[in-house]
Amino acid sequence: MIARVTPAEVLAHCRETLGLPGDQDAALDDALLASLARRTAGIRCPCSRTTLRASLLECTFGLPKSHESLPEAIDSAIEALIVSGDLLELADVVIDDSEVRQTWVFAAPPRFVVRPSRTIFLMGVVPDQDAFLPSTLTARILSRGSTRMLEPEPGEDLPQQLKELGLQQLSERAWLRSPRAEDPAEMLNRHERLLTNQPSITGIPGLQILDAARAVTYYRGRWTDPTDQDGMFVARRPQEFGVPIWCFVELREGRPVRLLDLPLPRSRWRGCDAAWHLQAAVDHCRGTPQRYHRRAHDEGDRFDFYSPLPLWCERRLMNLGKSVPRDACLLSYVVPASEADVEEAFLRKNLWLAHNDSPG
Amino acid sequence: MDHNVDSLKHLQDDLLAHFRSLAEVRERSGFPIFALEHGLTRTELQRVNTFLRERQRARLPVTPYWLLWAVYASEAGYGYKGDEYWPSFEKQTPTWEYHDRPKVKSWFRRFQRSFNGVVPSGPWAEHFSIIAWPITHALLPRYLQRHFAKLLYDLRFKLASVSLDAGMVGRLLAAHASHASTRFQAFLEQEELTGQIVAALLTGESVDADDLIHPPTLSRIVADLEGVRSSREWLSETRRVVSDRFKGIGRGTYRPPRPPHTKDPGDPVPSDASRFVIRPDLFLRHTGDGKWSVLLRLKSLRPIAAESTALRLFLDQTRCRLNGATDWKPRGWLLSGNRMGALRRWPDPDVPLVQFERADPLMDHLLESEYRLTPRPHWLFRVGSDGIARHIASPVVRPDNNYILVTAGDMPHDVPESAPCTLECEGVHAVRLTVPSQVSADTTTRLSELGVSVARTIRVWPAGLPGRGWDGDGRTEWLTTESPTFGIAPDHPLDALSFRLDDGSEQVVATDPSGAPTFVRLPPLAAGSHLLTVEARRSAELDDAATTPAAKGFARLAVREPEPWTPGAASHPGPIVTSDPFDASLDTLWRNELNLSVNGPAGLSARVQLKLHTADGQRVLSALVSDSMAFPITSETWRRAFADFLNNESRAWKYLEAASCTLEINGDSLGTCVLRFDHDPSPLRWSLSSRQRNTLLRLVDDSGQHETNPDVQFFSMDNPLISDPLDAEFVRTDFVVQPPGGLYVARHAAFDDAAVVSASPAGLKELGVEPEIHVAPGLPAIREAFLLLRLWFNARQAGFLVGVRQHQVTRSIFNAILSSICGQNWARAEEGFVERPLSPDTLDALENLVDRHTRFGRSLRQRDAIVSDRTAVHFAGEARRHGISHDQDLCLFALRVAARQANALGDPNLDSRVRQLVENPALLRGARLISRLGEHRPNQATSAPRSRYPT
Repeated sequence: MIARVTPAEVLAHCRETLGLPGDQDAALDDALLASLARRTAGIRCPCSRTTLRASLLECTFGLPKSHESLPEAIDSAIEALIVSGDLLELADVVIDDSEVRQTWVFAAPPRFVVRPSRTIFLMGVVPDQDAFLPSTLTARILSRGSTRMLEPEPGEDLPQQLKELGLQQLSERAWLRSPRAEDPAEMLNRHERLLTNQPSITGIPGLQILDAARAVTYYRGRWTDPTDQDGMFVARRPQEFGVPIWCFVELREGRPVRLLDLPLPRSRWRGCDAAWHLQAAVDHCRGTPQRYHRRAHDEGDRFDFYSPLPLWCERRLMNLGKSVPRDACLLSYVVPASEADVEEAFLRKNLWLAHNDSPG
Repeated sequence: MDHNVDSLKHLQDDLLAHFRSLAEVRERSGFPIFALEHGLTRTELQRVNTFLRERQRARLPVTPYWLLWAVYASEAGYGYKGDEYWPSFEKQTPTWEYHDRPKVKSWFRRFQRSFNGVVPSGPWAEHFSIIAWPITHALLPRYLQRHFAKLLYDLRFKLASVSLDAGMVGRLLAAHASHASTRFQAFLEQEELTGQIVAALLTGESVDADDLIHPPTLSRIVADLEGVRSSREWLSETRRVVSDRFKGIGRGTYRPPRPPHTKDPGDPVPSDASRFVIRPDLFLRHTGDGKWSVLLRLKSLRPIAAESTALRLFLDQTRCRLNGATDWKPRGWLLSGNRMGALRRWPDPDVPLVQFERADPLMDHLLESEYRLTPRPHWLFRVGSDGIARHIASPVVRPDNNYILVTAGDMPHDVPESAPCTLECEGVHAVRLTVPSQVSADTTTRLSELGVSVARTIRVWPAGLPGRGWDGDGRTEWLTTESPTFGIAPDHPLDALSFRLDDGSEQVVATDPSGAPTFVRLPPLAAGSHLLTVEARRSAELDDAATTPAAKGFARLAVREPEPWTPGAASHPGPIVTSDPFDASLDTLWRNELNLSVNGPAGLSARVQLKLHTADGQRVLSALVSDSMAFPITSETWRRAFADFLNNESRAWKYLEAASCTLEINGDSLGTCVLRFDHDPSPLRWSLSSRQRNTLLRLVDDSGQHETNPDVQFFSMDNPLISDPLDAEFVRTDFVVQPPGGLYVARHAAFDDAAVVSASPAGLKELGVEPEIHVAPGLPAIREAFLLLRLWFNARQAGFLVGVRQHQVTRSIFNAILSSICGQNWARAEEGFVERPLSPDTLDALENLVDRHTRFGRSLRQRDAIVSDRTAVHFAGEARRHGISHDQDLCLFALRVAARQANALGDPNLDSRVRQLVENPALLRGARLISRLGEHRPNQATSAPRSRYPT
């Protein structure tokens, strides 16, 4: 029997199929978008990020949403799944054609990390099943935005059970691997030397630069078209298909003269992670380090950030605490008060961030 | 003792009555009876065991209590651990001897005659003709229970969808166990039986269990299964999934299993093959700078192979090649998950998109119906925003969309709205077509001249849940567990939309007057192809005013069962592992003959761990092959790494104990891929173990041929062509292999086994062996030497340094054969050449000795000494020119023998080839000259040539 359904009923059916709670009239929210993105990844991966985006845009067309901009919400959902480990964005990959190396998004296999709180952080996507655990365990999954958790019951050896079901246990150390701490000036000098050694180029259509001269507390406002700038900038250049390519570019009077693609060859990090890390070094060396704000919260200490964090940094916060709605900043996390000092020290040492109240 | 006799008699009488009663009940269904269905309590069973053992100890006749003995043996079968049945049976049964074994078969045969007991069937039962009885009568031996529960869990969605007979369910299980252990596969070959057990396990109380399995026996198996937590959870989840949908099983009449020789040939491709979604997708992918590569995406054939054993075997054993690619894909490639391949040449529409090494009527049928590229003047691809251009079946373009038009002939110069476009594929031309939002009449006309029409738009898309395989133009794929939902948005005013699913009735749905999309939901659909037709209904006024007919479109829905997630299976997103051969045995792996390659992102690496297990699942080795192998791992890097791994004495010992092996390729964040390798035990086999640095050997004989003794021979490494007969009784128990070891050969009826065993050296100087070999001139001795050489080559290897020693022995035999055929003068000339390879004198001596009557030797010497694929052609040409031989195959055989290549021994006409060589020594001398020149040319690699001539 073919039945006409309302847009709200389409969403309610999605929630039911994907095992998400929610009332009949609930709009398309982050949790549903994350689940739809996982399902799309199960169908499409390995694929480009743009393929995921296009597929999600199509299947959510005409449905009630709670976001101002659906494309941006979809981009955020995909990014969140990459940060949380459900998806893997890998550069320089050969899949089916040995002569083509591209950046691909893979659906990560089912796996988990045991968090310091003993809660299980679930990750992974399988092609034909929204839930890869038996129904008794699936019913216990707690969806928080884009992340999924399992709380162990008293006396229960949940990690062992999950391993018996074929899930791979990732050690916390492996999951939270980060680049070695480096002096920001050294890092910047290294990139500047590499850029200087690149051949000359002319004109890059659609190039956008991150203008370090603009306020570090408003990330979106720092992006601009090159006009008459001189110097080296973190930048993005568009391509006909696929997401823009991150790069480090030298400008003379606003004209690009040298270009270095990010990430550097054989790096394990994504282009955006490399670029955000480099920009943090640029800002620190200019004497305008990127900022964070720390304050007390009901469930621990809240950190507000004004620039994006590389995946290896955001994962640490996700592992200890949780993402909370932002307020006049770019993203916010709450971590247990007992862990907050260690995390703050990490942010200062590895990303050279400065507290909002500190001078400079 | 009298009391015991009474008790035994009483128990036997009770059991006779029990089985008779069971047989009467079971007669209705025809389902056979198993000895494990005895219904005895644990205490009663204990008493039976005690009494029978006492009688056996006193060597009292066993026949009066044959039924108790059958129960006793089936209990041993239930506890069987998968390795050897007899050692534990003999340990529990004092004074039981080798010659008592046939009694077991006689008890069960009597049981079968008396109560319609189950008869073991299949190749396994034929080979293990005695132990097959008690193990089969154990229904589901404990060591298989966990595997069984896991298999049901993995197949839960498929089981939920079947409404078939027990045989079909059994076949489903058998087809999905290709990576299971050999014994488990053998168990699953009893398809009717496994189908019935599935019914009993999953439907539980809802089925009249008396018709299937005696309820206390079933309860016992279920309790044992559920005693292990993982098995309990797998069963519980499987029951949940199938609870509402599992119907129609276990009610039919039992049919005895078909004999193996009639099983496969009549096994057709499922008549409703259209239920399976297997049609490949052709698409283009943007690779940068306006260039596009052509790719073919192929669906896994596992679901369809699951229902056709013959097809599964064919795919398991046959390599394939994509139409438009040059490389052969390994055997089993299409069974190991969805696959993709790049096409360097446009597929020839006259042949299927996939070609196999050999023909198969069942596969050919599928290839003809599903794997053809429709011949067209032009093929149209719709370009998505993701840089993927998907092939669309109907040549219809829509405003505001991008396409790539491909043609095999010349592309017309005046294709409207087009720009040049490069395909990285020979044999076609392409243009990029950008259809404007307003298509002019001229453009419409010119496109229609190319066979392409411009459509008015009623946009249809999978809504909410994303559609699998959605090509943006009406084709999509769904699962039987989903309710397909679509959104529809016309670009012109409509009153209503009418829908029709397949041949169902028409349903009319009013559209939103505001022009908002309309959403419709379909019920979950049965597996197969479905057609949803959508037709626009315009208002009466608009209909009067319109000059074109109302828009009509369709969506093709391919519906299939979900593929359950299998941890570590090859369909895993990554790393991408290719193994050739697809189903390599543990012996192949250990001989380092596996071609393993793993693709993954540059910059990442894999950790490769090997685990060896005994037959009862006990792990005997867990060791790293490599902590970090960088992607991509080629078969060469794999072999090098594995050769290093094998160079370890303790691992060689562990291999001897192992029945199976898993190789875990852990790609860190990419996940883990697990490959499994089994040692296929033969009913007649050498079993090795080590104790206090001694190598112990024993002959296991499960062939059931107790009327005769096996023929057992030993060939030492020192004298590898001289046989030393061994006493059959002596080799049945462990004996110490004296260093350096040798070749042990056993033959009994249709079975044989040969193992080269290398015993630990006493000191470094004894690491190698120096065989003494002489092959007398003349055909009989040479023929015998070839046969023994083949035995040495093909024997299983065991022990430290066995590979090195086996190589030394076989090389020495080869040399002795060559000397015998080519003559002593030739052998001395070769020795002189080896001592002074650059001396013209030694080369002259060889050249002159090749053939004294012709200039064959000279002409071979004058050729470039570089050995290449063309060497065989040149050699055969020169042999023909000088009248040495006109037989090209014989020339190739001579070259292989001369290069001491093992594949010469696999020649199906070995015997006649040997005779021809003995009659024509000049040909072999010429081949040796070529080989010697090749070995001593400048920069020649020192390693032994592996496959220098075509195989």
